[in-house]
Amino acid sequence: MKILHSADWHLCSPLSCRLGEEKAKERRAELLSGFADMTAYARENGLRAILLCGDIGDNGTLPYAVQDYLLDTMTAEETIRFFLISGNHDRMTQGTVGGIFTRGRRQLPRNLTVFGGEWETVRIGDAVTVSGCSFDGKTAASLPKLEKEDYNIVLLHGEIMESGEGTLGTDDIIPLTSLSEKNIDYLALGHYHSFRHGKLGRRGTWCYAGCPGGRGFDECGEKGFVVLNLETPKDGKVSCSAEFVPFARRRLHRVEVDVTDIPAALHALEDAVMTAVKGIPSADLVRVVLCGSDAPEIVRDTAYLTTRLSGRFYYIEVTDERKTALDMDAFRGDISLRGEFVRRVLSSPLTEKEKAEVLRCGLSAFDGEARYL
Amino acid sequence: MRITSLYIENFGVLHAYRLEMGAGLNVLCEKNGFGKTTLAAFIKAMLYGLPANRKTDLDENERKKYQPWQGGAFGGTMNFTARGKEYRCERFFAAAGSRKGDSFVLYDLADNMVSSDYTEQLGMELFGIDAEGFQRSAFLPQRLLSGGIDNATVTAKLNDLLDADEDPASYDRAAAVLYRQRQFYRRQGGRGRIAELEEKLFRAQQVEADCLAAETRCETAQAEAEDIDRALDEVRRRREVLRQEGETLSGMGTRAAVLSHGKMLLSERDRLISSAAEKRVFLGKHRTTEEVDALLSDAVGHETAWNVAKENLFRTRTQKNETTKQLAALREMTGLPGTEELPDIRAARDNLLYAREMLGRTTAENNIPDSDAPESGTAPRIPACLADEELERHMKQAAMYASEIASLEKPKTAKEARRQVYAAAGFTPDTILPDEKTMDAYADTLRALNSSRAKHETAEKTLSSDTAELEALESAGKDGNGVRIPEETELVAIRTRYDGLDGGKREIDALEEKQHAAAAARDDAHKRKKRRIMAGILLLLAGIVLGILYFRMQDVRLLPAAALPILLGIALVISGLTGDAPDVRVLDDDIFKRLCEKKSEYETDRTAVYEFLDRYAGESVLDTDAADRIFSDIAKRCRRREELRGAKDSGTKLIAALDAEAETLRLSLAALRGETVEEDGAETPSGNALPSGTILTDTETEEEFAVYREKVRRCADADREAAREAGEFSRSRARADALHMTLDAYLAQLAATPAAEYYTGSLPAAGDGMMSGEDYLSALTAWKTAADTLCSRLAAEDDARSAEREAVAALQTRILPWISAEIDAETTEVSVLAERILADAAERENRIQTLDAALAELENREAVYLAQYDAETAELETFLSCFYDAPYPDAGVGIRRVTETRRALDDDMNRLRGAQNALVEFCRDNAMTEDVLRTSEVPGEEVLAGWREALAQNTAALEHDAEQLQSARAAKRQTAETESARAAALPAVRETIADTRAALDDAAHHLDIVQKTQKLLDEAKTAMSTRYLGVMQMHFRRYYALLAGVDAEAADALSLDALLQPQMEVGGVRRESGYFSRGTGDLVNLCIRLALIDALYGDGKEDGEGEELPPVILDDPFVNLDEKRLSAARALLDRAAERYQILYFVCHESRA
Repeated sequence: MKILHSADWHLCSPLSCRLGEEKAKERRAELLSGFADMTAYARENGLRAILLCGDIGDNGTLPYAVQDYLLDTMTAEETIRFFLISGNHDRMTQGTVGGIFTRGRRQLPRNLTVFGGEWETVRIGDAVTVSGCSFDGKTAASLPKLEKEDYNIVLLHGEIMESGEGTLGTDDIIPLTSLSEKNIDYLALGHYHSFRHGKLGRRGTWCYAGCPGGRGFDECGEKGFVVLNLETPKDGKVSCSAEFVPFARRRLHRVEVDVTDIPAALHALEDAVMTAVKGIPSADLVRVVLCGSDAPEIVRDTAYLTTRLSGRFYYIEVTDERKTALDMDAFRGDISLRGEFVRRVLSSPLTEKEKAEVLRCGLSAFDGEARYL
Repeated sequence: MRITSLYIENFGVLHAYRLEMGAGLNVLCEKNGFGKTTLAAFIKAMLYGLPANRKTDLDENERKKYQPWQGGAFGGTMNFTARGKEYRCERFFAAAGSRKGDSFVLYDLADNMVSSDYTEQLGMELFGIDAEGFQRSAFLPQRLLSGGIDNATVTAKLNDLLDADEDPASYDRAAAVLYRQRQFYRRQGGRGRIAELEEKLFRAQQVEADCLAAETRCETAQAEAEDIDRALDEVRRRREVLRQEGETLSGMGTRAAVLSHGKMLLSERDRLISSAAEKRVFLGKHRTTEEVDALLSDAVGHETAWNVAKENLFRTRTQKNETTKQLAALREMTGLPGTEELPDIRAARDNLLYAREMLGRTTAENNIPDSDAPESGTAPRIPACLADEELERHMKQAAMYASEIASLEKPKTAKEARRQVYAAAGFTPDTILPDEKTMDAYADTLRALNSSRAKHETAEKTLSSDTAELEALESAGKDGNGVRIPEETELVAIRTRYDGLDGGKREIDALEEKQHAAAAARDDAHKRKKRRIMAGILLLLAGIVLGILYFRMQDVRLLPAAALPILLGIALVISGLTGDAPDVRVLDDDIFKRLCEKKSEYETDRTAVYEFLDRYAGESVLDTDAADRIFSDIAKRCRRREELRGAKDSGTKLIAALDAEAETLRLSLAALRGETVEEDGAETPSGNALPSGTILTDTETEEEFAVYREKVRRCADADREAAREAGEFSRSRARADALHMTLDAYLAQLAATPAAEYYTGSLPAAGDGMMSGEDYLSALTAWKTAADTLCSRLAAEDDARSAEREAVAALQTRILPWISAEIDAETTEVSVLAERILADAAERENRIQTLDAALAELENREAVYLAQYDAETAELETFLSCFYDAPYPDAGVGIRRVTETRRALDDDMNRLRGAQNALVEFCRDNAMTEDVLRTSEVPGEEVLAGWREALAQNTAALEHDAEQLQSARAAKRQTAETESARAAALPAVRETIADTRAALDDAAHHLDIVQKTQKLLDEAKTAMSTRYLGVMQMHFRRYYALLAGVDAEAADALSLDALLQPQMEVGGVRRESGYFSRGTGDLVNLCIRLALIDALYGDGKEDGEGEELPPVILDDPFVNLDEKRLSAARALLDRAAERYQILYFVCHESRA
């Protein structure tokens, strides 16, 4: 039996990368259609169940059109069972089901099981159970001890802690110690947006599947879901192998380019940036960060670079995080206005970053160039 | 730089003023009003020139202020040494308000040549400061001692930035760049990038608020939908209640139905019992059912037999009747011989046949004597004696043939008719008629020719009319006086001359005016001459008088008094006599000459024009209106003449064209008429022509040609008729020939009759040629007569055959009814007919016999069936009497009734058993007895109906409520859907908000950086500006200590700000210069000025190195100083004079 573990879709949440209206719309549509793609993958690969471990929505109930889309997708996949818990972004409320569906609006598909505020266990195979609980102030400790003969999968959403008595739903803490003796074989988690896993007690594994697609440059790297492959060996004990499946249509990349030793000429920087982004697929989103240090009068035209690179990737942005390298001795004896200005800036109470910016701005102005236009 | 001397040509009050100056201190003590300030201004003017403006305030308009009082050249010269050389600069200024006219020349006194070492920007080039800077530094006026440094060159110089490498504009440039950036981000009036982003953010937040509101409304709608769901649940609950009530009601109804059912079962059973009892009574109370069944069985058998017997009887009687009818019909049949007659008729037939055979023998067989045989050798066959009808038929046939032949042989008339038609048309019989195509061509051509003629006639009329009008016009003149209308060119020339008359008149008037003016001028000149002469004469007289007096009184003083007038008088007289200003005379002649020319020209034109007009009008034309009318009339006539000429030309051309066209058409018509056409000398034969000898010419009208065409058509019709007749004649002839042959053949048959001589010779020979119908009829009649005669002869000759004949006739008569229709048929036909009849008669007889036998058989059978029928009837009656008291009219019905009753009894019994069982079961199921059932009451249907109705109403109301609620819920759900869709835009809006905020933050940050940059830049600038402040402070305090006579500490209480404004600290409080006394203020300002001079020029600069030291001009600056300070100031001046050339102006010796 194969089971898919996914979480943190944050459907209909604002994107944190500034794509522009049309591209953002396109990107949101991509992320939304990823749900259907995931279920299609599950169907094509013969998966029996899909675990949705919270934060499927981002801000309460989803728009009706999205609710219909999810329900229709689940309804169409009659052979797959869906298990859903709510997360901190789509908490369960009286008027909702699973935090994302409007209660009473539509009949839920028969193959969807929504774990509410009470612990519930469902048997999906001879020796496989799925248990879950949505946020409702319950503690992890209130999970009943599961049958040790079974392969027990538990769904939770929150932040794991090695110790402590955190409470689900309030501080969203999942203390692993409380769960280590519950005969949990696979703790399917949601909350973190990157794939992580570790040991749980003697027999179990905890795993964050991560989000299925990055929504900003704080979510770079591979995104996807986890596929559990449960096999029943001859001795009857179910064994499981888990595999992370990268599934995101696009990846986000943060590429740093140290400009310290790069000449001021535009083409030099352009060449360096091109080298840095080489190998990144054109369907991906890229943020190029100029770092290192430069003399204040050196202008690195980020707009030019963005324009040059814009056709190569789905989205590209160039940010400037350079430090200013200044030869104080050169300005010490400069009795000109320029030198006086530099000395004034350096002795001012501004932060180092501000000083660098003011120096660049002022020195560019002396040369008649407007830095911020 | 050192001024060595000055020369003021004219500058303000100073005029031709020279001043020599030496190095060091130069004191000029002059009283007030001398021009000391003017002198100082002159020096500045020499160095920097005078500004040019139009300001009215003298203090602001030095050029105006220092305009030479006495006029003359405005300026002067200044000798000076600079950089080891001696120069003289000459500078003169134009009038106030403009530099145009200013002059500057620099001479090198070494060679007195013009030098280009310095330009008119002398001061700037020598000292590096502009005029204002000079005034604010080296020039210490009496009042304007303030030492502010709001002069750029002073500031720059103070900052020592005036070198080739640094541009003081770098700050300006940087500030401009920063300003532009600030403006980009934030501009007055709520504009700029930040304002745009704020606006965008605001709008996005509004949209977000809308989305959130939509979300709220969605949730509200959803909650309301849930409320409605609860209400629907209540409705469902109530519906369930009603349903149960309905079930109860239904139960009650069911109970009633059950009882009704039970009662129904009960009543049914009772009814069946009663019914069975009735039937039992009918079937006989004392008869058992078996007996009844046995009786029935027997009765049924008898009934069956009875029916069979009846049926047989009926059938037999029917057959018998039929047979009887047939026999009667056969016996009544007429037309056939009866049974008794039949043999006789057969015999008669045979005899007849024999007789005929016998009668049909030929004359030879009948032994007719040879003398009666025709000479031809072939004895004509004795024809049968034809009946009159046959003969008549032959006669009719022959008459028909003859009539047809006669009709075929009618005379041919069409040919003659054709000949007559042709003659009427004027054609000979052999004339060849034209085809339709030719006729059409001729008609078209004739039509065209007539049309052309008509046009020609019209054109000729028009031409004639135009020509007449033209001739009349050309010689008509006005009112027909015969004056020729001029040609266009001539008219234009006359008109031009006429139009020019006014202009000429004006020119003449102008010239006359000029002439008058010249005359007046001349008169004036003359008058002046006269006046001069008169004046001269008067002076002469006066002189003479004085001369006389001189001579009389010998007073020397009178001599010049006398001489002078005399001399003057002579001069005047002479001047008066010497003539006019030449230009007046020349002008007068010229005008006169032109005037004469113009007048002559005018008169010539006028004469020519008015002669023309008079000639045309026939009378004198006195005014321009009349002239204009005449010109207009002439122009109109000219135009009309041109039109007529044109029309005449075109008409002529048209006529020629029409003539040519008519000729062509005439030739075509001639060709169509078949006339040879001579073309290019060759005769061209015509084709498709009209018939030769046609009466047509080409002058016919179309109607006449139509008449002609009709004639041709008639001829054609006659041709066709004749041709048709000829054809018909041919066919008739063929037919007649055929008929002749037929008739000949027929007659040939008839010719087999005895020869004509046998017939009294009235039968003409047949077969020769054509006989007329009458002849033929006569021949047939004769032949008939001959035949009759022959028959009579044969009859008379053969008496022996008469009996046979009579017998045959009798036989014939006997069988005549059967052969009368065939009386004219051949004998064999008669025989066949008779045979058939006889055969029919024989058959009839056979048939009658057969039927007789059948009839007898049927009668026997009938008797049998009748006996059976009677027997069975008796049996049935016996049966019926068992059940019916009176004889039953229909045994079958009676039996069936018994049977049915018997069966019904069985049914009733069966049903009774069923009903009984059902009743028992019902009672058992419903736990009641029969008696209870019988006595139970069933709720009325009305009551139940009322209850049901109430329930239905309640249910309907509930359904209505449910429907309403469902609609409401659907509406709420729809609202929720709609609002959800609206709210779906929230993520995008939030993205926009986030993006906008980020952009806004960026912009604000950038603006902040730019502002900080600007602030720091200003601070840097200020810092640089005040770099010199220390030096100034130092010099200032030094000078103050010297002049004020205070120690250094006291001097330190004074300080200067960045703008060199003094401040004094008194009692820990800084006081600005406004708080100082006049004297202290002057002293302080003096010190500032001196410090400024030292700061500008004192540090490290010696005269001759780099920029020059300017002269320091002090215009009585120590007016307000007390003696002590004055003394100190003078001492200071002495010290300064060691370095600077000082010009010290005072107006009182005490300060010198």
